[in-house]
Amino acid sequence: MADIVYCEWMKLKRSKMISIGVLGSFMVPLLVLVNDIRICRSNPAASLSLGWIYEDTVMFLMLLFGPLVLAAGAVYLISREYTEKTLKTIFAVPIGRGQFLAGKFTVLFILVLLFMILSWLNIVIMSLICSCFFDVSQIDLLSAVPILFQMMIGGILLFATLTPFVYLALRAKGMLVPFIVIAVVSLLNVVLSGSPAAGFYPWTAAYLLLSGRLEQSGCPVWLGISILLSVGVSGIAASMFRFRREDMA
Amino acid sequence: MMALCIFAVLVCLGEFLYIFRVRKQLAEWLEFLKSLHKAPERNSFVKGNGILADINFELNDILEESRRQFVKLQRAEQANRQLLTDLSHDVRTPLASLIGYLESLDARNAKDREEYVRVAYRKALDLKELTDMLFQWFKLASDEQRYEKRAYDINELTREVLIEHIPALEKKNISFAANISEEEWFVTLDQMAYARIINNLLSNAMKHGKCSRIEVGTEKQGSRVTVSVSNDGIAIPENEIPFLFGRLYKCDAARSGTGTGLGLAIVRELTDAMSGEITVTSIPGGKTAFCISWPLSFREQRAE
Amino acid sequence: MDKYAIETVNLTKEYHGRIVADGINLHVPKGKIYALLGRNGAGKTTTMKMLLRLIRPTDGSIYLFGENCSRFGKGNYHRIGSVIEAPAFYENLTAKENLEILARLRGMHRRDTIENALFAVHLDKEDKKLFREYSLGMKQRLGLAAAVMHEPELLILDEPMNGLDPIGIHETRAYLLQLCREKGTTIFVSSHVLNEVEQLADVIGVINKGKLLEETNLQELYRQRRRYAEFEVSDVNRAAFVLERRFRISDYAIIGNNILRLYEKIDSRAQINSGLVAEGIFVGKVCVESGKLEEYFTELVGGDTIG
Repeated sequence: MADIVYCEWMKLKRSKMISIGVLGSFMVPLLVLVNDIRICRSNPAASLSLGWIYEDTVMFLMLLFGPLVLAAGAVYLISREYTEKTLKTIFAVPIGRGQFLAGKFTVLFILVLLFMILSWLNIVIMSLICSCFFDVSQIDLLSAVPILFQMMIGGILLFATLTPFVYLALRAKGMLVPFIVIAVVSLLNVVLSGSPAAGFYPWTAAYLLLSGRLEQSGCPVWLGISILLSVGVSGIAASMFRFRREDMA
Repeated sequence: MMALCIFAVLVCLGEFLYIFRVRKQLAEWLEFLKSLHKAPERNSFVKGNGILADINFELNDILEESRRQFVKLQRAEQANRQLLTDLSHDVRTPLASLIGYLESLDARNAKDREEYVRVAYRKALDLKELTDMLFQWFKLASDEQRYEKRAYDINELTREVLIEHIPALEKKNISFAANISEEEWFVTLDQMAYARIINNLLSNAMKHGKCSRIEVGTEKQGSRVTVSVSNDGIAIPENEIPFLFGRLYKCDAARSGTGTGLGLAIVRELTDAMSGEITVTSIPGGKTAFCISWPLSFREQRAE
Repeated sequence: MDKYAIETVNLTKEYHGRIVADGINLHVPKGKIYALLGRNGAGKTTTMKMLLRLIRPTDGSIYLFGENCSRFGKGNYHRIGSVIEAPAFYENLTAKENLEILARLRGMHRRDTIENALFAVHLDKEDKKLFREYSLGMKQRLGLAAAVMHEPELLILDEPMNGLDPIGIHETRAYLLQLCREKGTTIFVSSHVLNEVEQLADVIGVINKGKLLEETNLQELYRQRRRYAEFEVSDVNRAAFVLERRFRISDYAIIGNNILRLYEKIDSRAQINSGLVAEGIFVGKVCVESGKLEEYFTELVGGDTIG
């Protein structure tokens, strides 16, 4: 298994997807920071704090950027094997189909966590830089570390919402259809985020759960968690089921 | 204290994993060794580095050695068996007619007798040529032949070979033209093998082509040199060309006779061994040309 | 030991109601080069993919090295190397990195596996180039390198000569022949051009519209390709003499102790028969072997592709 994961990692070398991900993890905290500074300027009562920056960032990450960039990454991991027709090369090695897919999911999981860690680093670093010019509170290890943990949990929740895209990529064998679906899902995220239905929609539920606002939205926590869990598990199960029986035509 | 405990646990875990890997590899080896009875050609595979990998590589090396021997023996044996079958046909036919002639010696008048002896003598010579050819083929087919490849100027080499043939050509009233370049083109070859290739092609043209003119030429195209031997004799039917270099190939009745069918097969084997490529073109009523092309050897050329 | 490296029984594949492979019974002998010849879309690639378990057969069974494929463990696929359709690798990686992935997944059998494979196909100098930048010929060569890097006993190559220049074709052919001769590797290639494989293959299988029409041993074909009349005579020496003196026949061969094959003047065999008898030679029987294969093969060789 370690070899499969290592190989998946190797396949990403010089890949544009990685740079897009890194760029994404920079962009979100940066934009949030710029926006927050603007608010502070216009409203003297507000003051910048790490917690505030984090909360805003995590909202964008979980609702918009996460599904967009990470789902695109998930789709890329799968569809590249189809578009570059490398499956026949890999399976001739030979390697089991279940193993192969498990490797993909593991790498996706690692990538999501790495993305989260990178975003966290960027939040902290940018806040530090910012604190040289403005007054930013809570910049210490005690407030930064819990944020990291929270973001990791966010990553795990995000991962659960990503698995259906893997299944979609397996079905579509290309990038176009999954990307359209990703766009629609992200759009719905934005539309639904304030509405009472948000708790029942898994992609917004992940954010609400993380920020502890799930109950406020009118959805019991257990229901939200079980919706998320079932989405994640069914994504993996459907992919496995589909992939094992598929003809590599 | 705490750190020490964690360290100890980690070490234990590491050792555990290592033992697990070793056991797995041992089981795989056992499985592999058992399967060798049924499939001696297979290799054993190992993941990762370290001593397990080293043992595995050594194991494969030993297997490889014996496998090579095995394949070589098998091939030689196969070639020999094939040769014996072919030999019986090849030698039997001329031998039978030779004996036929000799047996008829007593029954006829003096004039016939004289002719029979002449024919028998000719057949005996053919038989000798056949045995020579067979011996060559035998060496080639069983990979006994050793080559001494060096860079030679192919133009010079071709001229040397041709000179020996001029008397024979004159005797048969075949006109001869050589378009060999004056430049020096170096090709990596075995001298003997090359001479044999040209010999066979020339005698083939003389014997089966029923030609009046033979041309030999060299030509350079890019990084390759082409040597061509062409005659204006009977064309080879297009659908026969693919079989031309096959072992024991003989063309249709009009062309056959004393041929052994081995000449071109030997040419092909030798050309392959010299990394050359042979092609045939035959235009009815026009030229039949055998072209062999070789890559120029640049390295040797520079060293000169 | 089993005689065949690949044997299939009634192998059938149906795609959406269309039959692409129809009851194929392949017999690929060990240590030989087998060429599967057919037009594009005849079912060559489908057959190969079924052998490699890339697609599932609708019906029929596959025996690899004498073992039923369904019981043929994953470990046994180490013994097979393959290139199916155009070789495909990760475009953002170099040749070496691509092979490293395969080697890591498979495990190694030799320390310098990758270097050897790249050297064999002359790609060892191209270590900076990404697969995306490769020419078609280079891709084919890398495909071959990936197929042979683990020194498999069986190579399954789909159109290995496609996209190669004449020199490349010659090199590939020479390399495959060498593999077969020196290591005893069984090679199963497909092609739509007879010329490509006629100098390579020992056995040719012709496939058309999903059906395997014929499996022919090329050496047998050499021998049987011509029409001949066979005489059983009491004295071959005397018969040879008579044939040459009286009938001016030179194209004949003596096969056994008293079997003589005549390749010319077959139609006047009755006269020859009585001529032999008149010379005191007892003729046991005469039969004519029609060169049916000859026509078949002329047809095959005639066009560049098979009809």
